[in-house]
Amino acid sequence: MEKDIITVKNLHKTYSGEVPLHVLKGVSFSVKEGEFVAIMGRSGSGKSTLLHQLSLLDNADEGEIIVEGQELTALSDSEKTKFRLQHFGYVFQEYALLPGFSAEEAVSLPLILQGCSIRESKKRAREILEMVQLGDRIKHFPSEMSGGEQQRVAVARALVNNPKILFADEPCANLDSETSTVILELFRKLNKELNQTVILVTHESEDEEYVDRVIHMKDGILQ
Amino acid sequence: MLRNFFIACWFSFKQLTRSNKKSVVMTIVVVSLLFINILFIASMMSGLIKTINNQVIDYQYGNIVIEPTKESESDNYIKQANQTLNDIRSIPGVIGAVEHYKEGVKITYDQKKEGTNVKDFSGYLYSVIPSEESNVLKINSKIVSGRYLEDGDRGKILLGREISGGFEATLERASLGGVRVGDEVYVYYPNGISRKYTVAGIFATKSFLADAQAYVTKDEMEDVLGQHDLADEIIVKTATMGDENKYISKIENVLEQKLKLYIWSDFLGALSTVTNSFDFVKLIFYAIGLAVSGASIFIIIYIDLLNQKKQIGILKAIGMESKTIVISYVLQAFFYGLMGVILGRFLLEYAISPYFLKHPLELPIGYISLNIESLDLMRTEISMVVVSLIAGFIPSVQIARKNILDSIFK
Repeated sequence: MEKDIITVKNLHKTYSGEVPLHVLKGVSFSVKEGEFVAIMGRSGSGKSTLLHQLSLLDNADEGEIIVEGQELTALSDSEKTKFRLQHFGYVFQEYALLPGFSAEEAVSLPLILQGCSIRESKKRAREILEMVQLGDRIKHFPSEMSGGEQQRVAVARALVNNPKILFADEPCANLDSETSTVILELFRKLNKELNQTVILVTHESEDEEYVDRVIHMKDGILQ
Repeated sequence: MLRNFFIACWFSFKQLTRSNKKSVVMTIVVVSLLFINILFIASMMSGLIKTINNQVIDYQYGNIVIEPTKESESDNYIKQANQTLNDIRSIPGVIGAVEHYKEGVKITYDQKKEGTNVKDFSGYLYSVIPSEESNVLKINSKIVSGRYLEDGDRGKILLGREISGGFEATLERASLGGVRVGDEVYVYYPNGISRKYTVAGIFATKSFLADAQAYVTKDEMEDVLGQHDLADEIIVKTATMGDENKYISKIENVLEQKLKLYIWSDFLGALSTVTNSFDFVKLIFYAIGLAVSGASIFIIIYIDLLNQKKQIGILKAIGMESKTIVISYVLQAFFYGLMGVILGRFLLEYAISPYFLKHPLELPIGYISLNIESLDLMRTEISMVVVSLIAGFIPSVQIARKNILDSIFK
């Protein structure tokens, strides 16, 4: 039996404004190590907000996020940054690549931030890029690659530091169906072959076939 | 910390080398222009002050003026003028020394020779040995009509334009009203002797005070005064400006009589209030220039950084620490500041300054070229780099502290 890698207890998030928006209304669930989970729901259901809280990109107002026994919501900003670097990987909807960095440099960046030498980081980056079948594009810049290729670079960047959890926020939203399939199959392959835990936010029902489990959200609560 | 700095250096290098080249070059050029803007006005003012000072040195007093003590009747003149001159000329670093008789005279001019409209001018008449004078004063290079005096000239006089009138004299009404070369004027000496002189030449230095002087040869003056080997003043030109006090000590050591020694700045008089005022105005211009340029650099770098807000959010999301981000962007701002200063200094030293040396601005007060003072230069360089660092620091701290999602998505 796989152990829980992430446990969420009673998570709340409200966005302040003229009319405060209570987006997460006490979300609780857990994900097991090596599990491929999709968070699904309609637009405005709170799925992306939930992912942002889980991945420490945003601060929850209330509740607990426990990763491998460590409660994370009380960490300082600096500690959260280090935790993200060492334990999490992200794939954003809009790729979020740095325009001035080649595929090799973009992927090596997390390793360099961890203290690896530039040479070692680039070597590892090339291996990961080979794995996502971009071995022939390592010197290319984002502007020289297709959307699918850019997203695969983003996946490689998310994986290069061997994260405990890979978070993906609607990674196929800007891709055509063929390229989307390539990305989702890549996630599936990583999950099966490397036992990579993946938490995917999507609103496409056909994505369900790639994941182990689906968490449905509606109006800020799990269904 | 060292690792953060190393990562920041690597990241900054990548950012700068991979950024839009035109944008990087434009930013550096703008910073360099702002740098030049600060120094240009200050250097112009400084050039103006230098011109005024140089006029005093070149056309009136040299670097050092030696005068008799006038403590008693026998001390009204410098005695053994020739020997004294030779002693002074033998001092290393003394480029030249000349003796002058200096008489307060009245000069009259009857243009129509009818005796009904005789104009007069009261001023100082100096004696010169023309062949030696140019070693110290440069009046000979400012002749606008006729010629300079020659050794052996008798009955000839050289007039400044403020005496002759015409030639854009500043106080035309006080002048003799338009004396021309070849005209005759009368000079009334304090000893009661009057002489008729033919105007040999007219000079215009653009210094009002220098142009209100007149010259005859030493032989002529000694003939009128009935004196020999005396002088009212000795003017000394030294190799360098600013260390006149050192030369005064050396001169005092060779003098065999008690004399008074002054440096040129002692004679600035009212001009010193003018130059001090210019100095103050220069400081104000400098401060305003620095504030405007500093604000402009801040805005340029601030906007550049705001455009990279999303990128900073991505870096934070990946796991780059805020301090590494701040160091990285401060380094980039430092690069812009430093390169702007280097380019600005290069343009100033090798293009703008040489241009104005070759083509000085002709103003009523004189010819003005840029005088870039090393203190101003150093102060501006440091200020610009510091402003750049601040301009990089403040926005990068603000953005690095921002919520990651706001940075990336808003």
